[in-house]
Amino acid sequence: MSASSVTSRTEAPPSPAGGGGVKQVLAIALGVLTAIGGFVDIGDIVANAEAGARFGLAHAWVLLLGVIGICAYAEMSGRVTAVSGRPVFDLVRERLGPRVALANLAGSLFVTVLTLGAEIGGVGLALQLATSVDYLLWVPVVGVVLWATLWRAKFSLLENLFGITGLTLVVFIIAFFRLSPDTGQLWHQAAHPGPPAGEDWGTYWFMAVALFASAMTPYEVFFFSSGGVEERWSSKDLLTSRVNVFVGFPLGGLLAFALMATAATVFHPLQMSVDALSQVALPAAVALGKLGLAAAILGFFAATFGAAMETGLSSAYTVAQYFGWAWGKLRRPREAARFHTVLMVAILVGVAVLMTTIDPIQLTEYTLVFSAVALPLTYLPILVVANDRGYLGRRVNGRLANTVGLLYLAIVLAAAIAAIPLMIVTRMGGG
Amino acid sequence: MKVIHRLMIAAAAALLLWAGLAYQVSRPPDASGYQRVVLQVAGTAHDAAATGVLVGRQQLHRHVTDAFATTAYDDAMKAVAGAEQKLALAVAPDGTSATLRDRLAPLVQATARELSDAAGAGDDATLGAAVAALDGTARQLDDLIEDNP
Repeated sequence: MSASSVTSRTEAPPSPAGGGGVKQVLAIALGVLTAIGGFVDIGDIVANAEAGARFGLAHAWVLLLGVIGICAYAEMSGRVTAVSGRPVFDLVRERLGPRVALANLAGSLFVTVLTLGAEIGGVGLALQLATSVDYLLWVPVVGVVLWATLWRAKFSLLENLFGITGLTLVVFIIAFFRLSPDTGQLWHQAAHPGPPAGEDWGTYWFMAVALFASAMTPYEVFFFSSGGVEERWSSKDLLTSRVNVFVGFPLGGLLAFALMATAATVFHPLQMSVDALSQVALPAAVALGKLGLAAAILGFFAATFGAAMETGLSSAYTVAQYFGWAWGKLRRPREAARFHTVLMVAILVGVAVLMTTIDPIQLTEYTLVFSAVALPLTYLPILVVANDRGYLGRRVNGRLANTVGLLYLAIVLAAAIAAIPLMIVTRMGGG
Repeated sequence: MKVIHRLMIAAAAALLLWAGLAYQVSRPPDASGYQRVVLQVAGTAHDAAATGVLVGRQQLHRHVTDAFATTAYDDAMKAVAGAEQKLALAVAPDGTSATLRDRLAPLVQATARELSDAAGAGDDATLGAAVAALDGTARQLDDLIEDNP
């Protein structure tokens, strides 16, 4: 039995005493962290900049689709956690049995550990932009710092520090306006989805699948729900959960859109593609000079380091919750030794993958494709649990949540089926 | 059907799939395949040259730090080195393909050289000259791509 499952199925654990209003405001920061570190991670940075450079704003609708989808499912998982007091993955195993949960675990863990590697690589690349020291020299350092941070630092400290620092990516919104974009042209691209001259439908759909997967990465919902348990959400925190989802994720989506829009403004007219983090940062430098560049690099660092923490924790959360081990950042490492061991092994695997000298951007692209394949394994069980009155009582999904949930299930299934064939046919989007 | 038979069929199917994939990946390109390689190489070189122009101009405006510029040039030079290697490994299947290669190869080499010049420029005049050269090469690469849709 999992550590959290000692609580009743429908009763939430008691909230710690403290100023209610202030606590609620602070709790919203969890959503901001998830939005910045979770929504805007290396996958979003790469996919949105690539899409903007090659296709202009022709994929803007995919981003919107992804934001609505992640909001729908994160709301469900937040509600499940707030009402039951238990994380979603714990309930998936209990409700659907160990075999189905194992498929879910295998799919999401594989993708999450690969994503962790990509995030660590992203941190290394951000540090390279600031220092010009090769990212491979940074990778082991980042791995150790990440492990030490997750071992020692408090959950709330990490949440606030990286949530606020990640907001410096707002520089791309400012840069977009400073670049004086041809709004008529951008609107035309957004309103007429399809490949521009020189691209084909195969690469267009490949990029669409990658973008959609980057918005709906599986680890986001598991981290969100486990984070809710760490924050001791109860039914009283449902409002907080929903504000986090409906404010935090769209904020992340807006930042991702700004990355796409600035790339569309600077690179698309030059008919060039983007395949390095240094190129993604360029629009900020073009529009705002060194200050803009510094903010962009800081934002990349915070977003990727925050996401590395989330993916590392998410790997350990899912394994510990599946096997019923004690878990959580609120427990001392000695009390959750296996949880912290999985966390350490996940970081080591991520670092080892990067030390093969695979390009972190390429690793990110592969991660997005595999992530798309694993999406149904993550989202179907959440939909099932969110409809279980045994856990949620009268808080089960309403008609709207189920309609949106089923619609998105069909979309993630289509993306999962199309991902690998599109990868092969388009040679990883190369055309 | 016994489990061992099913396993053998599955193994044989996997082997066939693998062999097919290996053949597909390793066979020498035909004319259209070679043209695709040429266009990919030209595209990579074009992107690297255009990146060099953007970074160089920002350097002239004092909009980027030295560390950033070094990294950006390094990234671009790595991309060009990969493209050069890709072009060198592909064998032109006919005369038309060889002509295309002979048109592209000097442009790729020029991109690498001019990026190196920009990265090592000690003053604005040298950097300005390297940026102008990169701009010209990017245009020629663009023409090559447009001439071979």
